[in-house]
Amino acid sequence: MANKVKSKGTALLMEISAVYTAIPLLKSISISGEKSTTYDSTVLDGPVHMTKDPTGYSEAPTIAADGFYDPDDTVQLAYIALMSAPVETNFKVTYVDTTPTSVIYACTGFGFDRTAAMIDGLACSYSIETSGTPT
Amino acid sequence: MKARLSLDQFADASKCNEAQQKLLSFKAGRNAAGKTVPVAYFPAGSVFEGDQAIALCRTGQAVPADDECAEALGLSEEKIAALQVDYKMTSLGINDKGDRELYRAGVIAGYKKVGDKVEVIHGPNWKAYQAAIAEAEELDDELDDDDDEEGGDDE
Repeated sequence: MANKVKSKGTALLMEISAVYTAIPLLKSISISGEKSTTYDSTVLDGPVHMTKDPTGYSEAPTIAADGFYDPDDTVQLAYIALMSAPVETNFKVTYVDTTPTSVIYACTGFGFDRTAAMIDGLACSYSIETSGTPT
Repeated sequence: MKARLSLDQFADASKCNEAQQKLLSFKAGRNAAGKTVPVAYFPAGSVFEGDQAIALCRTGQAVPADDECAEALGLSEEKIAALQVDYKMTSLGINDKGDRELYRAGVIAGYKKVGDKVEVIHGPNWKAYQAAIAEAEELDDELDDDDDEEGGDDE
């Protein structure tokens, strides 16, 4: 039976020197954009409706996360360093379930936006492009 | 310069050097496909050396295991302890402000899935906290009863 699982307890971790380290102060984590791709396979003598066939490949997802920004935080600084010296880095998302599920994403593109607004704490958002199959 | 992990930490086995390989352990976990697989981790107490020792202390994942590391870190014991509590909450996904306060107070220790619900794991002060809630509710009830009686006199 399918169950509703609360978002509580979900964490995003970044690999730093082989140790997965949790990214602090997150408010939300979103993993989106994973989809299989197709190509137009319509032929001149085909039926009325155009056809599409699977290419056999899938788009890798993008990880987006929102949280608070602490300019002195060691983990956030390590993440920000990926933008000046980008290297493929593994990220892990862990969920709360009976046998804890964790998914590893090889990541190659990194973005970090900061926001200072009158009615909110210093905020930041992460955008992380993944590559290959999540494991 | 050495630091000791204060809790189990997931490892990226594909990035381990020889020294880290010796520290690796595995436990059962579920992967993206929902299959139960061995998941690599560094057990609490694992000792890391060099610059990584300092980095792990700064994130709150480890504590200095020798004077050299403590000196290089340059933080008070209180600050190191605070970093560890903060990190543990983050790694357990405890981001809600109220839950973080309960964690610091030893009332909750994390989350677990029970059936179709995510429940809190009870901390060492859970019973005392629940007793205090029950006591507060009793007091509220007594106060409500008093109010009702006073209201009755008015009628």
